[in-house]
Amino acid sequence: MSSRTNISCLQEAARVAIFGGTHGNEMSGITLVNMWIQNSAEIERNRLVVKPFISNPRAVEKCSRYIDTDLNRAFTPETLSAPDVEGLPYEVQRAKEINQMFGPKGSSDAYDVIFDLHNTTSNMGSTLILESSTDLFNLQMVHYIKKALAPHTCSVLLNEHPQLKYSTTRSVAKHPIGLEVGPQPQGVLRSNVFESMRTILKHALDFIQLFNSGVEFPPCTVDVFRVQERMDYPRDTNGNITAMVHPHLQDCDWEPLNHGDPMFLTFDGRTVLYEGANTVYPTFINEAAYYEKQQAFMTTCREILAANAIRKACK
Amino acid sequence: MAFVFLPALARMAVCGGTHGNELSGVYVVQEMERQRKEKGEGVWPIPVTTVLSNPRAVKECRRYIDTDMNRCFTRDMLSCPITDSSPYEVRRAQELNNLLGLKGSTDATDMICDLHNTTSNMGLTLIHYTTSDWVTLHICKYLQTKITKVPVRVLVLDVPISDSYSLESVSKHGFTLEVGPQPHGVIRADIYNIMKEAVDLTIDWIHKFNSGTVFEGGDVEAFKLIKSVDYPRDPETRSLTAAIHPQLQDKDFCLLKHGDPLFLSFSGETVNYKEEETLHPFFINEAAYYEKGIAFHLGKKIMLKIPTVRVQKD
Repeated sequence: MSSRTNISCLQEAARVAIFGGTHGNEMSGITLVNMWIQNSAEIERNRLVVKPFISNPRAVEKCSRYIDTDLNRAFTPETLSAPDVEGLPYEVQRAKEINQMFGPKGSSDAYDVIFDLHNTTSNMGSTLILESSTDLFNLQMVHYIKKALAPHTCSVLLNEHPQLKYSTTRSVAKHPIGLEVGPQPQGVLRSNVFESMRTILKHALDFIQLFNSGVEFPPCTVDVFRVQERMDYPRDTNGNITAMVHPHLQDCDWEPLNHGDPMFLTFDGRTVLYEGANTVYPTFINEAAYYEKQQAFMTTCREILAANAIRKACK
Repeated sequence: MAFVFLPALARMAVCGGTHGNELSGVYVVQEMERQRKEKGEGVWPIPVTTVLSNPRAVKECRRYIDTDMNRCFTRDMLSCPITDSSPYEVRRAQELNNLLGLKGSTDATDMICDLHNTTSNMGLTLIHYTTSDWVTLHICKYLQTKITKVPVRVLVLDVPISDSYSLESVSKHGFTLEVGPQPHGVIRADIYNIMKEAVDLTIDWIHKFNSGTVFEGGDVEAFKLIKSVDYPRDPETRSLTAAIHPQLQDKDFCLLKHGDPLFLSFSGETVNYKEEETLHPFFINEAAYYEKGIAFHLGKKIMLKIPTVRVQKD
């Protein structure tokens, strides 16, 4: 009976939120959330409260990524405990409000699950972003979603890197999940990208409903890409970029990048090669919002995570 | 075949960053300026002025600061008095008119190439106001024969020069080089290379023309702008209720027939093209046009006849 002893009993996921507009120009999430605020039938499930929510309404109104500072980097302990004074950046005030409504972060009162909807200009397809390799609920949910979407692929990005991990809006919840779908230009709504995101959420909510109704999910493994390193553009002494992502690397998210492969192309036509010793899997290649964050792409390595069987804990 | 003698083109300007987040032009201009520093004024066979049109918008990587600069070049806006409350772009447009114009005068620059990007799948599209500027149309024909990596199309707005509003109308002959698809705020190497090649070939044509090369006339296929279509919107909130249909997305310049899908609503209904006239859509799903109420433009395919041209010797 050894399989019985490896079932993790987890708390029911009773309160779920779907955040759109954490970045005000990433249109799929904004459109979906606004639609569900008007009519929530599609996201209703038995025994489950699902709250659609626009995280950064001022940025959405302006159709810009943020007003003063990136909301999706604002959920640090320092920001969340900043005193209420005049002149606080808009997103800092907003982060504190969100933490009060859906958190507090790290407490037992926090929402169980938050889905944070994003788009990227990178050719990442459908991607789910995890912040922990040991969150069994999230691993099982991601496994369920991937199986339900097959044969359409869905990549899983794990950002557990001590320096590169950032304090996301969704990190207020016990089980944060990022949905990143691309490629889509900022300010543009593409029908196929919109429908992909909608379908991912449908499967995610189905999973939560099944879990809450007592279904046991057997042990599983999840193929992930683990964040390794941030690679910046070559720059001059003034900080201006001197090269572009090379055409051979452009749009090749998740494909192997080997030592000696072309990486950047300077404006006057010279190729810069990847010099890393090991094969890596680049992602977020040429994301518009990351030029100012000094990132041309991120490198990842492939890993297989194992998850125990899970079942809702009996009261 | 008709034969026309035309004056040489003495001065050319290449303008990038008219919209500050359309990056190919910004970096082509930057690279040209670097080449000029490195190799001196003789780097190109003809005199070329390089201009960063909207430096404040480029610095902030935004389309514009106060107002779309590429609508600020009407005669009225170029002559209106500047006050402290004038939009930045109106002020800057007047500066550019002084630098490259004056629009409509004999002192105006001969050729402005204004470099733009679009999120639409338009390949290289050359945009011009009229159907009778033989120099501009010959350059378009030349680019169509020399550039093979992407489709090269000609779009005429069929607007009289007296009503023109964009930067390239400041010069005697001018056109917009529009390359896509590229997200705003992103520089793609493949798109940059197309833009650079188009600029180099334009300089090449002008040099050849000025040196006496005869350019054979013929037919140039072009698209004439007829009208624009907006997204279906909620009557109260004006927010979108549908997106460009997947079968129309990325199909710029295709043939649109009665009954073809245009939009897919969020509740799953398809909105079809209801007109009888077959037209060609372009600027399909351009990010900057949501605020202008444009989902796509529609155009008619036309055939323009251009004469053989040769430089007029003094």
